Amino acid sequence: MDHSRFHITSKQLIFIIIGTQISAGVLSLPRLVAGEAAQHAWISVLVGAVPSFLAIALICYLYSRFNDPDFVNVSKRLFGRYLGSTLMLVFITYAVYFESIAVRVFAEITSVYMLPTTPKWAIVLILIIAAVYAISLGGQVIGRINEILFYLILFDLVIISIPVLTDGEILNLYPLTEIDYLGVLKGAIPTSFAYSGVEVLIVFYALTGRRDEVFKAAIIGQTIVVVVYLLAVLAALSVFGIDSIATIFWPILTLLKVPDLTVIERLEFFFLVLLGGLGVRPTLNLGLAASYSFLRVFDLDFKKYYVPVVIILGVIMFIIAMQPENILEAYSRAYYGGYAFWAIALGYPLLYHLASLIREGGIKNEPSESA
Amino acid sequence: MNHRKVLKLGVYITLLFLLSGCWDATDVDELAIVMVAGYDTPMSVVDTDLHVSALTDATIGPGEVRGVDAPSIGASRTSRNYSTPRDYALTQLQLALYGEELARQGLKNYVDILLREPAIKNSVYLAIVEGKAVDFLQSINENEPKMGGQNLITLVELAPDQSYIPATTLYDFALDMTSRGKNPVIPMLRLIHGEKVPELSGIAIFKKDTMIDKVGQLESRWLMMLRGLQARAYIPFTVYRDGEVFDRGSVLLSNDRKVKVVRNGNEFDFYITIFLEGTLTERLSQQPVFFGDRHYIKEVEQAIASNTKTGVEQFIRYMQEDLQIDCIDISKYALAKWRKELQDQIDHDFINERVNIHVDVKVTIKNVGELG
Amino acid sequence: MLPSFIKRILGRKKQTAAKPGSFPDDDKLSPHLNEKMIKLQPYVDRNRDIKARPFFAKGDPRRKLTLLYMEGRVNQDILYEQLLKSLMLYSDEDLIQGGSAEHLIDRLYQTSISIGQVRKSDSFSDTLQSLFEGYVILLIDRVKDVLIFDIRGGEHRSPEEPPIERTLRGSREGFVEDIIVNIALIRKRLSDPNLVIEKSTIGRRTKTDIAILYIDDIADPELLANIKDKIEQIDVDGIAAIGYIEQFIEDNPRSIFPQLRSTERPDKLVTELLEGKVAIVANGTPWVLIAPSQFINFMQASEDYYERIIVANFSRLFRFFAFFLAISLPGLYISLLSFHQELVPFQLFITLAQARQNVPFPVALEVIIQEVIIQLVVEMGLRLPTTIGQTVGVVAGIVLGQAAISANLASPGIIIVIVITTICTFSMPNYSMVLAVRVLRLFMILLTSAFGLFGFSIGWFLILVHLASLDSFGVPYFAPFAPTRYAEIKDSLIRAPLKTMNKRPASIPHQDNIRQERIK
Repeated sequence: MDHSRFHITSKQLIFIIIGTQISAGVLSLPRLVAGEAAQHAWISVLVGAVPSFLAIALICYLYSRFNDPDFVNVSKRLFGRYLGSTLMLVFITYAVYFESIAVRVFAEITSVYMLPTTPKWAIVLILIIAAVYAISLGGQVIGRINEILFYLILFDLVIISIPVLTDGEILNLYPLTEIDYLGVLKGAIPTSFAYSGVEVLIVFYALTGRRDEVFKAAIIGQTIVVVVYLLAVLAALSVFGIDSIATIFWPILTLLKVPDLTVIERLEFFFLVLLGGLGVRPTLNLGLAASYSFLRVFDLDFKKYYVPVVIILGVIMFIIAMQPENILEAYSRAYYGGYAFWAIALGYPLLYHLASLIREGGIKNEPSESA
Repeated sequence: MNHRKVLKLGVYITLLFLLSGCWDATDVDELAIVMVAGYDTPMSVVDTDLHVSALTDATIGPGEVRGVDAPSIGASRTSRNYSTPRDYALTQLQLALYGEELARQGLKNYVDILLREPAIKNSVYLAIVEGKAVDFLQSINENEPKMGGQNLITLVELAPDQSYIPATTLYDFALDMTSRGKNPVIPMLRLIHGEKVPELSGIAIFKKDTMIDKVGQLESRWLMMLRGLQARAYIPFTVYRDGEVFDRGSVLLSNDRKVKVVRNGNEFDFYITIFLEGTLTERLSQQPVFFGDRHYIKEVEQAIASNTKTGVEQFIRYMQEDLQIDCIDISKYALAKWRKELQDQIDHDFINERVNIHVDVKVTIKNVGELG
Repeated sequence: MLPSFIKRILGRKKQTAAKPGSFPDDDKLSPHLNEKMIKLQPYVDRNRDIKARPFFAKGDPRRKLTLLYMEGRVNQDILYEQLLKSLMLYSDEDLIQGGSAEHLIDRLYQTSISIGQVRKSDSFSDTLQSLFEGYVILLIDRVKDVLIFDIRGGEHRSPEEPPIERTLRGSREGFVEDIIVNIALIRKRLSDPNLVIEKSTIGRRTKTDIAILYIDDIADPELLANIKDKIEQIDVDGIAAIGYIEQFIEDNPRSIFPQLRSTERPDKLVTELLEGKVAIVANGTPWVLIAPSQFINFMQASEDYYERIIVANFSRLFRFFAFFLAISLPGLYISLLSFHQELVPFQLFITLAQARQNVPFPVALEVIIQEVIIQLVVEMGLRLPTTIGQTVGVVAGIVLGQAAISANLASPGIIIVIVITTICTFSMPNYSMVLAVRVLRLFMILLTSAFGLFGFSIGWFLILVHLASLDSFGVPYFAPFAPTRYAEIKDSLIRAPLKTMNKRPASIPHQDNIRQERIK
């Protein structure tokens, strides 16, 4: 495993930003949002994206002030060796935890819809094996995989649009006035959790080839995510209306069971088959971020230690993913993961900015370590 | 060996290890395939006792119908499996029948299992049977053991293409049941010709999940037109000239509707326009009518329009006075404008006390066929 | 103790020093014909196909000459007419009379030998090697040097229609085993003076001639250096076919996917050279390697470019579809019948279930059994002579299938699935890909029999990850899909009109980007 195998292009960064965010969360998103914001759920989707955009801006601004904008270098420079390492280990722990829960949630959905009697550990294990195999091939491959999987999302969007065409009703989205501002804000909170994943930029910034394009790429990626979420929420809302949607666990999947078509009527299966890769994708990106940072923190040789670290990561992920007893617990852990997302995506850049403000002057003039 | 090789070896071994169990695999020949299911309350007073019956097709010999008593639908499946150990596969369920008595008690608890089970599609058709669903199925199975189930499904599925009876899916029912301002309608079935042949007898009208009344075939037509459920069927007409019958015949019409709502203080005026469009298919009159006699076509259109208008107005009176619920799905137009204010009131005496409904019928005959 | 240890090291050293194919230490040739012959004698004695023909120049006994050659490897007509005859009959009088040794050999060369390719050598090893490579050696008494002629000919096949890569509208000429003919076939189609042909040999013992072909001002120098470097690193005693070279130089030898495409069509090769790729030709194989190759290259057939745009795209899309089906159809069949019955339309479901009523095996096992049988039939078809192979293949296919159904060992559904899969497999234009697909299918069958459609999804995910991880000489193997290169979609799933393909594909490093000026 060569260090050069980790470089990604800025185009791939777009897809990584998308891929880390769009996951199983979108399936239940319409219920969570519509439950609070009613027919104005789409506004919540937009408002909920604000923290993510803010995080992108903060991260990019932070790194743009350094010559070698690498998570590890910057942490060590701002906080010293020990505090910096600790901060990074916290980030790694968060990433590993979050990706494990993502795997578990996806395994639960698979279990409900496709494999009701297969033991959960088998599903979790095969997902993790797939993820570990991909992560062990390095960042370049992850970048490419994200590209392919993005096109599958487009297919999924096409599939979602079928029930809208057959059973959607625009009246369900009216009236546009009578906005319940509190409800919209309340709905924005679960939405913002669904946007979790943007924090991988903290690590992927350094891996991107052209630094000047990072900000643009991240913004484009985030915008595409917003659009996808918007379409998904609008689709579910138009078909189910605000009352019915609250009774359904995964509105996006139930949505696909609605149309009465011949032969291809079980759209949810087509969707889930395409989603197979999608479910492991946040795991790929976060797993890569975690193992890459881990090696950098301890300054280990990539050739020698990368693959073993990834395998150990897989084992840890398996253990964490098997912790929740049932689907509801898995979901509540995912919800707490959402708060952790706020802490990481907004807290870290703010903390770093603060540290650099305190140490201002000393930073800019110092020549970088690698230069 | 380098790390990559170790990794790959690990993957292969684990994959082989995983393969030792095909947990979910069930071969098709081991399944009892359910096409039609029927649910009833028994004669006894215990209303949670249910009959579950399945009309299965040729895979397990000729179709069979078996009623089982159990405290809940799920439990009935187990009871059933004491005699048929094949896996009870609901994946191909196309039609769910409910006895009228059960429907009048409320269906909420009995559609839950269908909605909850991921393997069952939401486009399962629903129908209410006059009498017992199990007796209905058994009778069909005896008379037509091979194709009975399939024919019944086709009958319900294609109803709106041939007649003024809607096809209601599980999704439609669940949506109308849970959404404010909506009430479901479900087609009704009965046996005719000496209890042998199934017939669509009309529409069961629900208040949320509970059946409150049923209407016959003629009223079903007005209900469909008002509710905007698209159908395509033949309608007879009679044209009068100078107070005498000038001509009789029939037209093949498809319908559509448009709704406008205007607020008038605390009152709401709904303007429903029903559009009927179609072909002249039949004339019985011996009196010749000249080619291009537009006046005659107009007369036909007017005859149908006035007939329809009388019918639907009568239905609206019936709905507002007797049913006192919105079964023609117009409340959503009011909700779309004043959702915040109305959403808690709309299901309580809204349609009968605060609403005036005005109907206009527009008939267009586009074609007269090959004869003049 | 110590001396024996040293001895052992020395002994080992000696062993490694005595490489196979090495020559006696004394590499000098003696001027005397007899001594030269004595030195060569051990090799000549052991090999009956080496002929020594002593004679006198112009019938003068003072001038003893000997021709050494390998029977069957030289063109005998030229040997007798141009070499032996002219030396024996038409040598210059003066030449025989006297003059120095050097003088003599030059005079011979200038006056008596009517052959183009001649060279002089004074090295014994060179002489011996040349002899075994099929050159003709002329030994002259009292002259230290020898003359080496290249009149290699022998038997070779003339270019015929390629048996594997057939086309409807393409050329009917295919490569043959002879490298000279093959290079001529390429030159004939590509008369660019910038087409460079670099020759060398591979194999310490086989000394197989190979040639590296590229267009100097299109091929990327870095890529070229990379390929040359990899070929130079090959140190093997022999190669039997070009497949050896392929496995020595490809980036991921353990991958299931072929990473170097080989073709037996010169016309196809020319288009690849024009994209900046490098061709490797080896003597003895009627296939030419193309480096670097990408996944889509294995899906492109010549007709795609020779036929008109709509039909060409139609068949190419079908080929991708066939690739997908060939890998996944048996897996899909298992997942639909054993896991997700709801996806099968009802009537079909009933038919399939009835057909399976008497089959004792689970679906997965049934599929595996049929798959194994069909693999064996295919393998047998390859080994049998063409005429018999077809007949036996049909008999095996029809009779076995029919018998399996009536014996309740298989349901008709599975027979149809396996047949469709096999048809799809062999619609791949490249045989290496056919082999890969056959293995991947088994992988898919195993995954789906454990996890149904979920396994199907994971299986394809792994295949895609693997494809995306491959590189062929620094070129991403799965481009333009991953990494996506929008400009190159022009010639991937579909093919854009030739008029619009103005630039060379960006995935392959090249110089001179413009293929054609924009046509209005």
